[in-house]
Amino acid sequence: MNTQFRFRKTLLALGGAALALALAACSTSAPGGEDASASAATRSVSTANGSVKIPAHPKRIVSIHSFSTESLLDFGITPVGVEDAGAEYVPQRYLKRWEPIEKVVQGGKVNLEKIAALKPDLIIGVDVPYLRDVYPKLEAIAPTVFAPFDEKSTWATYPAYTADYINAEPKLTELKKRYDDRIAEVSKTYADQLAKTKWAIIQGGFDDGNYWIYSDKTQVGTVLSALGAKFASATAGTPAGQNQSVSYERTDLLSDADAIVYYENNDGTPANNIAKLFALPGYQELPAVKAGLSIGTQDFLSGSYSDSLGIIDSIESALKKIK
Amino acid sequence: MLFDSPARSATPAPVPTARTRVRLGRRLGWLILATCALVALCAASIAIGAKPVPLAHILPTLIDPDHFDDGAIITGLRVPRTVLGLLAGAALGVAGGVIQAFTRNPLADPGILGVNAGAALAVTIGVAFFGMSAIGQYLWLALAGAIIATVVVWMIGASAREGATALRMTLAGVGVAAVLGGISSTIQLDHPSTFQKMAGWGSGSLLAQPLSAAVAVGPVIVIGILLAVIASRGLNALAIGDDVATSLGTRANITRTLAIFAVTLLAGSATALVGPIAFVGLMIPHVARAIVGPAQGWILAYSVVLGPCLLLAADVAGRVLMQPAELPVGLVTAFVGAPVLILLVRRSRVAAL
Amino acid sequence: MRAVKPPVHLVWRTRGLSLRIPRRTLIAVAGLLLMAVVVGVFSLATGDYILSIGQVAGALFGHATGIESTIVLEWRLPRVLTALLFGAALGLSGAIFQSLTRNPLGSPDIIGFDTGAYTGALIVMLVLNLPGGVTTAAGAVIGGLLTAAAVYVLAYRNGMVGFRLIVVGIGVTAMLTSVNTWLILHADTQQAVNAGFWGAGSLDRSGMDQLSIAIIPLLVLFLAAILITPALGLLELGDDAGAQLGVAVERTRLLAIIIGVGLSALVTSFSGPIAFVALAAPQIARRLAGAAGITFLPSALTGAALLLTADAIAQHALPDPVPVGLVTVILGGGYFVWLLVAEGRRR
Repeated sequence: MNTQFRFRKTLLALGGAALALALAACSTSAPGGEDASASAATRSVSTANGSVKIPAHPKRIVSIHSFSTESLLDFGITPVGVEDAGAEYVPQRYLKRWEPIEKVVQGGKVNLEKIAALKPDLIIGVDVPYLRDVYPKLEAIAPTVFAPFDEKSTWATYPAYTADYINAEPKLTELKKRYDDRIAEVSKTYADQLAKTKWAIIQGGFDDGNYWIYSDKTQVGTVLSALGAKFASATAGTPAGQNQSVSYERTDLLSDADAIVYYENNDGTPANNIAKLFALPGYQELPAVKAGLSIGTQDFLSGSYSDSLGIIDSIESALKKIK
Repeated sequence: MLFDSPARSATPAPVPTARTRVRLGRRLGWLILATCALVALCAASIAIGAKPVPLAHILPTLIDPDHFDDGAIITGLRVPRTVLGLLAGAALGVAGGVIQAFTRNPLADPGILGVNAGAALAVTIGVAFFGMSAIGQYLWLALAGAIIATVVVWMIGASAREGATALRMTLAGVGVAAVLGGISSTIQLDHPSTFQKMAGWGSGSLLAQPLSAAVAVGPVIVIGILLAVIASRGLNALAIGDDVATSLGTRANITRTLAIFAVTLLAGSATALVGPIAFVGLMIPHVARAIVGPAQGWILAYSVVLGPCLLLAADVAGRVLMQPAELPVGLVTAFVGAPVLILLVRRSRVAAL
Repeated sequence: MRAVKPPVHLVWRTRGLSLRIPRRTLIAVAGLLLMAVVVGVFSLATGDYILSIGQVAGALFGHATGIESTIVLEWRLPRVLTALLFGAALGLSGAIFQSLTRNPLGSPDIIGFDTGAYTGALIVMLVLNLPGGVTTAAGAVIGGLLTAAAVYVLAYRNGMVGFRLIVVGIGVTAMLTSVNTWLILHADTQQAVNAGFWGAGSLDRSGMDQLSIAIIPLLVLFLAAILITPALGLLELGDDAGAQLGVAVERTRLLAIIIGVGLSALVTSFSGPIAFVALAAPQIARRLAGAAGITFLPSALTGAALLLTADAIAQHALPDPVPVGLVTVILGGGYFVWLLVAEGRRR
């Protein structure tokens, strides 16, 4: 039968095509990615993935996490590509520069080809779970350096590692000195107030009916600790690296706090779902709130020295009100 | 044939008997009992929560909120959520009763029939593309989305010659909900802040809207319940079958139109008020039917009382189960309601409508 | 088959093994292959990194180096191959389940497998806090299997009725969705992003390394499926008829379940839940091939073409790529609704 013959021929052709595809697939023994145009001079830096060779003077940097982006912008470097986790979370001081930059990470999804098309010579990020997965692929585009993300890292980890990657140590030293001076100044000026004030750190939850209490190991907590501040029971009792989800009814957990710091968007509105908590009489009658010491900061998730200086400003605005 | 036919319940006509008066007494008695249960649950909803408030403080607080420190919790949180629970529960219960009678589908529920997905998509679009953030704006958007989804699902379900059978309505609901849900997720991925803005309402919560929203939507719910009551006589006749109903003189189409209006208004406004909450509309009419038998008017009366009972009980449970955090009520009703659904479908003969 | 005229068949005999393939099936198979090739070439040539057809061809034949070679050979090609392979696996898995239950609603995606897999993965990621893709994959497989088993057990009563299966599926899915919502709402933000992304179902993690792990078990399952499908086809006539024709009924059924679940679980563990392919592919294939019942080879090919096309849409239709699972939900759900309307009209 004629069709029978044709069928065999089709099968053969198909097999051939599959084989060709398979061969093409297997012929990629040489790891690609080494950009020939990259400047010859390289140096080794330390990253979450061990020592990595990077260009001595990177020119086109892609940053895929807000912490590294904020540090870069703080050092006066504008990346060619950045992440977008929602414009309302970008602190005002960076917003104008952040907006026109190409967005290469959206909702945790890394657009590899878009990054490759930007032809970066360095990719900077943070070793968080959703970025860790794509590290091998990023490495093929350009040298990729992740700052560690573990129990030992604080907000200061990110500017420190980022500065190392782009030779910004002088700028880092300058910023660090400004931060240290500011810490010294505020902790001295307000020593009395700090001694008698207990702080709580909170954020709005995503669901209705609950808010989150943060530990003293968060960004705000670290800055407060540096100032020598004390923590209210709610924040002191929350394990490091975690947050505690509690009902709106349990505003009593904040009753021993003399001051409360919460997360706010860059337009000054409270972040996430906390506005409902604030509207409740139970919150308004808290000692801290009655004293006007419920303070928002857009630098809640600080990733740079200027952000943390912003946190100090917010804290100082509260301290000023304490007699 | 692609989809195998469902076990469609043959419906016996309600035949008046000599024992009518006895039955009336029984039905009234149970209704009074259910109302007492509702009053008790309202009290529980005000008395029980994540923060223990001494019982002795509650009554004085309701009269004078500043009397005790805990007053704010009672008047600021528990009273509003109890009111919302009452309204949304009654709306969902009645909507379920009407939709089950009208489609002659014992498994019909506003949630299963795509209403929630429609409301969620409308809210997503409003938040993502029109920058809506005020809670009052959600309300009408959710209502519109719910109405559109209900009509679409019903049209698909009824497009067959055999009419809107239980199986077809359920499948249409699954399909439409999948499509609408996929579109919502796509939009939310492209607009990350949208997810954060609507996550609270999206998981179904009696705290999703303030008391003022209850005032705004309350009249819509009352109108919906009234329409359902007007339609109930016709629905009783419809339950016998279209042919019989027409010969009995019931204007079947008017009844149908009334019923659709009632369901969309009720399900839509309940969803707008408290977010997508499934299974209340499914369970309540079955409980009611088990007590009163196939009498639409009585089923509605019971649903008005029993719907809030279920919603308030689930909400109170959500407050105490995960202390110090709270479970959104929508998650609790899913956990209570899904096993009931499974049980219903496992029974070979579902209670006749 | 109640055809009046005997349909044109193609008969293929090799050493006692005989295969009768209707002509229309052949045309359908050829058409599907053509579509897969066209979409595959389109996917290889399209992306945010602009490459000419010449550059893509050059890279394919090993004439390119650097990032161009990486993009074509290590990103785009494995993605295309993964879409084809996973799509075929899902299509075949759907065909097996639909044949077993004699109902299109017996698909693994309808009976809560996907939601259960997501719950399993979330528990690994957010509750146990275990690192790594392998543990997540294991969690997904276990979660999916337990859920599917629970749904089947709950829906089984004097036999399996499609209506009961889907309603039990809805119930169990609703409960698990509640659990998933709760877990994500209260997770650390960085982890929640990761978890939410997994749940959408995506081929973003595809690559030569993933393909090399997935291909061997998938091929084994494909082979096993080929061996078992003739018996499965006979079982569609009914258990008694099947037994009379020499089919070991219970053994065949058990093997088929293992193969079907294995295919679905393997894909889900690598890519997260990709819904509706397993449901839609066998139904589309049946219509394309003009067959009365479930056809296995066309189902697998339809699944492959479907997932490849859905991924091309997910990657290129919107300004920013979206997970392919969302596209399959929208397309598959839409097809499902259309099917419902079309079936209703015909009756």
